[in-house]
Amino acid sequence: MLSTVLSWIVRAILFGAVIMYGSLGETLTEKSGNMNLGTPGIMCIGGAFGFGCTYLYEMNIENPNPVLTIAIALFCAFFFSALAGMLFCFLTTTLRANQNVTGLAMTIFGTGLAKFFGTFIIPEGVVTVKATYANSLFCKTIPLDFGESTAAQIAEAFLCSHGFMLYLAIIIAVVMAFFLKKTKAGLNLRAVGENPATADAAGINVSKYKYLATSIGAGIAGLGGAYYILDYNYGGWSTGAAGGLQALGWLAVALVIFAVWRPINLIWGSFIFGLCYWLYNYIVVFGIKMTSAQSSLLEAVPYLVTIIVLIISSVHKKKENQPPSALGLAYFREER
Amino acid sequence: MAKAKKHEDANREPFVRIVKKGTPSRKRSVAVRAGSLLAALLICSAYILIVGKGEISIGEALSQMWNGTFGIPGNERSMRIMMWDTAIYAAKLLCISVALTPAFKMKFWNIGAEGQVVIGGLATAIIMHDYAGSMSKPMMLVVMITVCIIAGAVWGIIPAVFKAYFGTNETLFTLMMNYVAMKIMDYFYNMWKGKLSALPTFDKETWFPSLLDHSYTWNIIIFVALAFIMYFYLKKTKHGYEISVIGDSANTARYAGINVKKVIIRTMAISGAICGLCGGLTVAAQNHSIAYSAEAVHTVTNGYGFTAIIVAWLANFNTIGMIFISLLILFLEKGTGQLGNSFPEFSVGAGNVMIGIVLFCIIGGAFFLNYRLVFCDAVKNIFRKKSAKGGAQNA
Repeated sequence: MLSTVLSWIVRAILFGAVIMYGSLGETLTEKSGNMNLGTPGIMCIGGAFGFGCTYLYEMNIENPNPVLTIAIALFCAFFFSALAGMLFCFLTTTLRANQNVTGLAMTIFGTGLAKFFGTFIIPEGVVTVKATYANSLFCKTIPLDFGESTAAQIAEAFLCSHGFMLYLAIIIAVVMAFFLKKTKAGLNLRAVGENPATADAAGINVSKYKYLATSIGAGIAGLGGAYYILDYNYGGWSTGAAGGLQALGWLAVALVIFAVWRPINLIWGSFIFGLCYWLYNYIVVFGIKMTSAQSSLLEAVPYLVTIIVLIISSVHKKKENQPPSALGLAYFREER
Repeated sequence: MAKAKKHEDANREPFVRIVKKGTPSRKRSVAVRAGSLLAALLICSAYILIVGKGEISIGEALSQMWNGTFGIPGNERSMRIMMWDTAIYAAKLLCISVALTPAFKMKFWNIGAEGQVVIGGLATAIIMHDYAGSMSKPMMLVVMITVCIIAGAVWGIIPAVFKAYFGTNETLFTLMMNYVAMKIMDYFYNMWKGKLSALPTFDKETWFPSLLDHSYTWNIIIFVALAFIMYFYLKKTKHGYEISVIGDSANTARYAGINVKKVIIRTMAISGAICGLCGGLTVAAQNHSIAYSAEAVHTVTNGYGFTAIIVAWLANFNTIGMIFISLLILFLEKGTGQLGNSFPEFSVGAGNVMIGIVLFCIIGGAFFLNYRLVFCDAVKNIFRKKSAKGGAQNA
């Protein structure tokens, strides 16, 4: 019984951490007033390039350097996703295209690019390739033993049954919260997302902030893609993995709303999403037996919870729980 | 001194600036669209050369894409099969795009078409599965059509009510509703499937009547007719006028005495109802079955709920123009599929990348419909001098 709960917690945290990257990136992007619905595609790009580059490195080098393996994976995932984010921003900010349309096109493009890049790596006739070494690095947990008591085991499940990427995600969340709330650049960024015309009048370079926030946000989301492939998916890449990653990307968009655009809320929000996502597998914990049909209804829970949060926050009209007011709107200085 | 220089720099005219234009003329919009497609063709050509390592010629690739969409020219059987197939999918994409148009014209970003189609299809499927043989065939068809329209409308009205009364963000709301609908369909799929490996098709007695040897001919006729009806509805009726006033400015509409809340809810009911009808007809006449969301392609929607958003926007909300855009998307989709069959280098992903490139070109190109680039005087002078020189030589 306890071991079931523990494995539920561990899986929920791992799943949550993957979508947390997507949500962190999307939060930063949406704070600038850009709604990037291309996040699923961008996470796919991050996954494909992060995996692909580190796989090529580990295949062609006799004794791969652990630091370099991780660095290559993270850098490539970040870099190529950020490029995709920049393309999105060019279309929506400079060319003022509709953000929903561009985002959806980006999802088609990103998923395609990921699958396409994957076929370069996968030898003919093979379905899955594995980056075993990188996977072992990403899965490495903190070797601490708290003891046998129930409390100690739960603490272990929460604190040290995960790879380093979980802790990196939490650090990014804290840093982002600090950046948005306590720094001048963060204030400027929020001003751009709330009211670009006012921000422009105050001398803030609106385009610069939008470009930076969208590119860096896309890069962070891409890290989640690499994390998904190299840890969650046991280091294996297949065309199907890109499909799984895309489905996860939409959950990341949902999580941003659930956390009412606050990076700190993402930390526990992602855990709750993880618990909801795996609920169908662990519902026996509550002594309930379900058919496979009924368990697919449970998979709708994260989306339903998000809808409820969205409704509650709009009914309450609390100022600090609203989406950035210029979210999804293109800004043109000469237009009133 | 240095500071003064910097100040001077800041006051200088920028190299290029952007000016908004009024409504583009027909000539200009045709030119811009053609230019975008040409740019897309150029980039795609380069892409095909790179992917095919120079072994696939552009002409060959294009002719393969043509064969994959419209059949091999001269081969009647291939042409018949391909054209029917293209027609039904293009009509489906068209129908969903048409459904989205009134909502989009109102600036209500309904990206929940996917869910509205699924829920409509599911409503019809429940009738087909559970009530087969319990009523006469005409009665059955009427009930099947009615429930899918109602289900889709309800799925559209829910976010509309919250938008109208509480200002809830409709983009995110409708996006989430998609997945709820899909999971509900999964529930029925798994329940009906039981221990079987796949869900069998429903009782033949409940199928939609076929016409011209194809079970889905009625779908094509209804979907295309809807495009024309919607064109009329938006252009010639009071409802259509109210929608475009709200789209331009909700405040103006309120001032003019339009009941904005009512129009939002009514329009979303229509939008959802047409999506639901599309789902219902797809299940009743084309698939005779429902789909499981974990499969690569959701056969009830084919992912067109999302593609339709792009189609509606690219056609500039002109429902008749959407016929051509739907065909273009189908040409890309099926054409790249055919490329994948003919050339192993061209995988599924490669096709999606190409679709993405074309979409980006058209989306980016739309900039030149509404805006104009104005270069600074220095650049203008260069052009002026050149043309003056040219003129002198000609003289």
